[in-house]
Amino acid sequence: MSVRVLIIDDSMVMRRILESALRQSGLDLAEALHAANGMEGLAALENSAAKDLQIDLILCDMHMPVLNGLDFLLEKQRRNLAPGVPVVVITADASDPQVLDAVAAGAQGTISKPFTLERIKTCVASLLPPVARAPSATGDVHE
Amino acid sequence: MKARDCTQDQRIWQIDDIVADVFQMMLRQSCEVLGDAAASGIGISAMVLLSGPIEAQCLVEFPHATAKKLASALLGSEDAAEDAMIEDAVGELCNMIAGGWKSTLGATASASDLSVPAISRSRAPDRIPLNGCSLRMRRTYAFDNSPFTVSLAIREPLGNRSSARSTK
Repeated sequence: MSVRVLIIDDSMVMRRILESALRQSGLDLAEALHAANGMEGLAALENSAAKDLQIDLILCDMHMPVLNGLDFLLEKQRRNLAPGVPVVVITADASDPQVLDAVAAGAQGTISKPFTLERIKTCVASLLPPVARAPSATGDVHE
Repeated sequence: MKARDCTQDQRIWQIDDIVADVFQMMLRQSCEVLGDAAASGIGISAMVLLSGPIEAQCLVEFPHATAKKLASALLGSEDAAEDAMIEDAVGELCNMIAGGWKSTLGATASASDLSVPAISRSRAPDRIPLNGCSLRMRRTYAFDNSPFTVSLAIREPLGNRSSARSTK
């Protein structure tokens, strides 16, 4: 089972790191959509819905300009976009009280930056069914 | 040694640990402390501000060649030559150091907000009044023989000054 992932982060470097980490964590990744803030993330979800394309996982930075991670979650919920799709929030500020608000707003996982590939693997494994994982995938982020 | 000196030393060691953790986890590289003198030939800097009950600034400064090496190492490839990508890598590094530092500052700091990184093609000007700061420090580090500098300044309530937590 191939999966489509939406990665929302204002840092293009971090988006590429996360995509690489997902591929190397054993996920059978069909497509990774990139969005630079929560507003672009909402647009990506609406476009996917209009094309009847399913998103299987959303990784969302908390701290972004235009629309931050918490407001993205709240607006996604209000518009009923991608209901039931697991969302993992990512933050460099683990002490930010908004991380708890994000969990209350539906985030199912949290990852603190800096992170290891093992952390990504563990988080993805807990949220996606085993069939979404490529059988022979191994490796590390920078191998 | 006076108690306050000891606390400041501990805070400096915490920063060393935070920087080392970022490089170990994200780049799988070690990062050594070179000292307090600034790296020369700064080409790109990034600053993150902490505002609220505690005010602080975190500034990282990179020679251009070191910044390019950082971007390549973060992306695991040599195709990070675009200036925008290099600036983005420096900003993200600053973001992770500032976030890690904030988490060591105790409960008062959790109510303060981190800004998004501001990138500059020269040394960024100080954004908080440095007189009255409870901590000002500058450390130069090197990864893969390439130097960069981290500078921190913080203004905080008196009661918070001894509450820095251990990161290890």
